[in-house]
Amino acid sequence: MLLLFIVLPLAVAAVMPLLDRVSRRLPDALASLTVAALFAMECGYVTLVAGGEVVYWSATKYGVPAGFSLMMDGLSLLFLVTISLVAFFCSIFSSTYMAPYGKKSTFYALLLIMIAGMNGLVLTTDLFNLYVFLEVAAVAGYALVGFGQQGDNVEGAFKYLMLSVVATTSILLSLSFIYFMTGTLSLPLLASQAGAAMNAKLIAVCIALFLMGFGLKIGVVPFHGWLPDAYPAAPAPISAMLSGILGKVTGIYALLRIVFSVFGLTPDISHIFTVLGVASMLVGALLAIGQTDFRRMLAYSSISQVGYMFLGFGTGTAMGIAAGLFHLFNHAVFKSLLFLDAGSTEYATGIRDLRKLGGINNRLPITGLTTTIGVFSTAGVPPFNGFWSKLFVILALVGAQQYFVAVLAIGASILTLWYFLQMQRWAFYGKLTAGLEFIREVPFGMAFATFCLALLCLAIGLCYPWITANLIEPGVTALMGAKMPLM
Amino acid sequence: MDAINTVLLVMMAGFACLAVFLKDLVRAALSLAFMSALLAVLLYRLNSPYAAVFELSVVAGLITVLFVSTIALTREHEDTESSWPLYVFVLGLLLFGLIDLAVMKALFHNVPAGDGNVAKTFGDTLWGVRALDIVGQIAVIFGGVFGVLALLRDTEKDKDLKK
Repeated sequence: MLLLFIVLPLAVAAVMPLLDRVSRRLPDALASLTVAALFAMECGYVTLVAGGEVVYWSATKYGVPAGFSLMMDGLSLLFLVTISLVAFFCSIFSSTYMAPYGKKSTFYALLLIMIAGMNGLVLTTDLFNLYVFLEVAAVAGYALVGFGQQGDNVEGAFKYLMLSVVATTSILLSLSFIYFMTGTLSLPLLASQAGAAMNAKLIAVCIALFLMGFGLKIGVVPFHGWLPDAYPAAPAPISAMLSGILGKVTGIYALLRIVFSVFGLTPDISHIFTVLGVASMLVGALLAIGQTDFRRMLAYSSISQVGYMFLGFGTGTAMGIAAGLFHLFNHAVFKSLLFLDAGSTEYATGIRDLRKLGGINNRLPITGLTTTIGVFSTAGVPPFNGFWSKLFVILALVGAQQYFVAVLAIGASILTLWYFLQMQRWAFYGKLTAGLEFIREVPFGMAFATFCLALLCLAIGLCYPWITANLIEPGVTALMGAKMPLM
Repeated sequence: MDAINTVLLVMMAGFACLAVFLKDLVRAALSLAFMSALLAVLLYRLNSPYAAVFELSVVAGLITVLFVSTIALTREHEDTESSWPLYVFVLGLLLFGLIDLAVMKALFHNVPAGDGNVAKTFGDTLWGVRALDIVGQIAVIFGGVFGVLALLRDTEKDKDLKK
């Protein structure tokens, strides 16, 4: 029952403050179990959806006096799995990491509300519902970025809030134009009458507003101004959630769904995607070089990696879209890992400035190893997952005869390896910095989360044919296949 | 008819800007209340009486009372006003007007209005068409409540500092 993906995390969030009074460890366990249950439910749909089925849930069929429905196709399932995967490890990591930040029950409640919002967003078949769930995830996100923070760090949360408001306003404005033109916001209905009742000029305005709104949510260049402040300001697990999944669901999923279902991927939109992709890939990589704050470097790296996804989508081919979606899935895994590693380093040493660290690899062996794996995955070193998706992006660009862009993508990958190796050299290798002699490896929960994510980077890299066949290809079919059926 | 709606819209934009720019929080909250009241009038004129009533009672009424009470209970000092927001507002409004005149009006005259998916009663609209929004709104309210709890409570560091 698809409604459970929204209602379950919401219900657990509602009772979370009460559980805190029963036991201080109970919220930790319940939050992780809830996300694990969601993941298990999603796994149950994988075979069905990979077989080409689209799962529908309608309230009226179950005797509930409400006329709404939810839908799970390949694209929805890919995002649901990614949300639960990242959220599960972030939740485990938070059980220790978030202790000094304040009441963990409130933190988990907000995290679960964010998950409910994202799940609702990827399951809904109505554009206004999509907007409402986008707001649900965003409201929880603002609070989580500022959770337990003081002084300058609150600035990041405030910047995130302000620019998100601008983003949601332009999205809402665009939705109102679509409603004005067509009289409906139902995705299947819009898909069935794609372009028929729409004015070409107003469509262009809608697309521009969507690109600005969702571009701000994603943090793609030139809408990336808030991102390098918000990601480092948030607690590490929230940085991982923001970079790993929130931006992708509230930005990329929504944009892809609307573009493919409502307007269709025209050559003009493909061209815009390619331009945004090249700009993000290069600007993000160049700005990451020389960053001395670990998490700020990762934030710029995220901008760069999003560029690769847009390059894939911009080709407009099945191969390119598959490559973009696969890189999105992989990025969620390896960038969450790196943000959690940054949190582990900060937790163990109390230092974020990379130049003030040095030689800590021997003191933090698990964090050092998992960071190396995350770095290799991001830079596209075989056999880790990032290698395959970057290779597919480059192959798709070559297939679309965009040779120069393919060369730029290879160049940006080399830049990625450069700034991350610089980070490794500063922080983990070389002579141990005075004063760090007595640091110890992070507690089990944190190390377990990062170790599992590192293992996933390797496992996805080795088993990529299974992942692409069961998660990525159904996503591509959902986007490029037949129009959404009318219910 | 259009002229009155335009005047209402301009006034709404003005009060919205004042709500953002005024440093005095009570005045900002009252500006927001005026903006909501004007929006309620506008909604009523556009044949959306239910939305108008909710806007007036909840946003202009209840939320303003909450804001003003909270500000009164927590305020420690007065802030002096800056005059630059007024210039920014006038310039912004002029720019908006120009864009509106140049682009939007021309566009809208060429577009046939959609049929709309209008239900007969408020209940039909709420439960028959927009029921999932209610789940979303509940989640937003939860998010807001937990957000306030998260951002306004003392952290361990605060407690240590107080000690």
